[in-house]
Amino acid sequence: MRKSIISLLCLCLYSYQSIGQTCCSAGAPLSNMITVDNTNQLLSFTLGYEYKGINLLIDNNQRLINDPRRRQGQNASLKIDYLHHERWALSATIPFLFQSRTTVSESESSLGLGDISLVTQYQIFQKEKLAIHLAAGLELPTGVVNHTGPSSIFLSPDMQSGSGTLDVLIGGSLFYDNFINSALAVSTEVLYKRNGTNENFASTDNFSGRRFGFGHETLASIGLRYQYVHSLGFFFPDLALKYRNSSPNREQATDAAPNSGGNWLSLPVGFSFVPSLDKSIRVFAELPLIQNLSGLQITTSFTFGVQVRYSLQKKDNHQTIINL
Amino acid sequence: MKYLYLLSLLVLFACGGDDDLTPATGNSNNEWLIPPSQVFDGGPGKDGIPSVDDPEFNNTDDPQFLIPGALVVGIVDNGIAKAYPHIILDWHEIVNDNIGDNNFAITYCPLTGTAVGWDRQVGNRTTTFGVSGKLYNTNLMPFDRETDSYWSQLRLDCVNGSLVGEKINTVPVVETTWSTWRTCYPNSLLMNTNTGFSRNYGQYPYGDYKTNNDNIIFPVDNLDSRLPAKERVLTVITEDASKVYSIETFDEFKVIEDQVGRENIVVIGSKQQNFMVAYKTGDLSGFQPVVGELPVIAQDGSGQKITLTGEIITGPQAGQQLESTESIIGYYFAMAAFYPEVEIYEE
Repeated sequence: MRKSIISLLCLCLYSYQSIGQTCCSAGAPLSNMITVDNTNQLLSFTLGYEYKGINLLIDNNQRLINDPRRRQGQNASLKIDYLHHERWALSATIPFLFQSRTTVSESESSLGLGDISLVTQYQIFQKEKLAIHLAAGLELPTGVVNHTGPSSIFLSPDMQSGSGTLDVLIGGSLFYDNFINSALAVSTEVLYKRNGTNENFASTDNFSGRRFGFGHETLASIGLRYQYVHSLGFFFPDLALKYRNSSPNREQATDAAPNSGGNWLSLPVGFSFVPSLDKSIRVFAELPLIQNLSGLQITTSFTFGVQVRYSLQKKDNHQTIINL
Repeated sequence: MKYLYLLSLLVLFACGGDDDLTPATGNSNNEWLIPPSQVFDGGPGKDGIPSVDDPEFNNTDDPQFLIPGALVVGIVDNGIAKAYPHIILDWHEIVNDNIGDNNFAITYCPLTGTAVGWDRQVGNRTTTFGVSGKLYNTNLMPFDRETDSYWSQLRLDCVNGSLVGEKINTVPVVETTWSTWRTCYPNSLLMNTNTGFSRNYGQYPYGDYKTNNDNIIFPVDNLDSRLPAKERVLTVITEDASKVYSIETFDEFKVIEDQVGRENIVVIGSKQQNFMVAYKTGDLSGFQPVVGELPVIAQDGSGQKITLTGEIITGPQAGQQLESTESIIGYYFAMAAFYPEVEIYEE
């Protein structure tokens, strides 16, 4: 049962994680990229919604004002986790993205299927308070990449729902329960996403298109979670520090496009309610702390979202968290 | 899956509102004079790069924000000289301004390094131009706010919208250093950084783009390798031909009498003082450089002296103006993209 508790805590703690295509893009953000969910569940479904305001205009590390544009990205997703084996789990995330860009002169938006991700997770260690997981996966080029604006011109890559590229994801996580006291847990997580290059972005019958690739991304975080037990269930407030690095985008002949890539430090906070092992709901937000970017970029000003999870339990396990 | 999609739509549209911006509907005209597949969305959106519509000026010998060697785009009209620094144009690309009744826009594309003065009188309307956020051959496409039509800076015409096919009237401008311009026009007004926007005007926003010949961000039609991509050239465009003159040609202060198509022209330049200008010779000939007498840069065979902006200031034709050619300074790759048959001047 201890194993189940640890796994559940892992699930709650890691669920704030998300990784986006670029700073200035809602791109194809995928929440729960390497969510660890190897409780005694056979199958779980997580419906998620995330809103990103992308309205900070940053020149290197300096905030500029009077930006005449407003950007936002919204992501609704379905994540399906399948426990293949006690240590192995598979997950698929299907995102739908809405993005908009508004200025005094025009409003443009896109809505469509994003890039579907497939991730496998393996628990390499679990003993007492400690659990370590590794994950690897692919993000498939399933997303829509031919959204156009009012004059039938292709929207820029960061306004498309998909990337048109096959991307590779690897990561790992460590979870330590009973940190300092029995209600506190600490976790750390590292993710690396190597984005492919679309050699034919915006191609048509008579034009071969343009070369474009989002920068490769590294994400690392450390977080704390507090556990509060109530007769209604478990409550988990959490707080983390998240670092994100992105290399520059690749455009045409250059692999270091100006005004792309950089470093971000942010503060994700969340609150989960788990009435039973098979259900949970989580709300989360993320606030930017420090940005040190390459050149001039519009970047995320705030994020908030909600996730609802429902799981089907294994037949041989009828216990719920209340019984633990 | 269908229900999930519907749910997504509901959720996304429910939260899709934007607060303090009420945009126009935008130009939905799909007729283009250029292949729309080669028009690219640069990312910021229409007016995402804000033009300056109410520029402020100073008359100062020592602007704190501008070094003497910094490039400016200068214009002279009715004895009034104005200079627009590249370091401001890099961030705004278009300045809508006027001198008296002469309404013009300084259009500048950082990706092609081209500055062109545009008459804001379009048809029977006076308009202002904005930055559309779209690029053709990686070059600025202004839009006019009266009709919402898209224009091409280097084609010099309207390529989409109700004015499609209309040519733009250009206004002669000179690109040179602040030092040279100030020597020529000591009373010149200088656009200052009170633009209404907070930007790091001392900082070039495109990294090594100016000097990295491989760094061309958007596709171009005709990548011509006869000269380095980012070589700074003056391109003279006539009805039937075009020719480029590299700044390297003017290592020494030099005057070139030449023919472009059927047009007889004179090109005067100095790499050291950082200018290249071209005028139609009209009935003048025998041009010689005049060194050390700015704003005078040349004289004709009869000794009539000519200034940087083409004004004849001595001799029987004093007070007259050499007729400007259609000429633009910019990166070589861009000129070759728009004018694939362009000839390269060789000594």
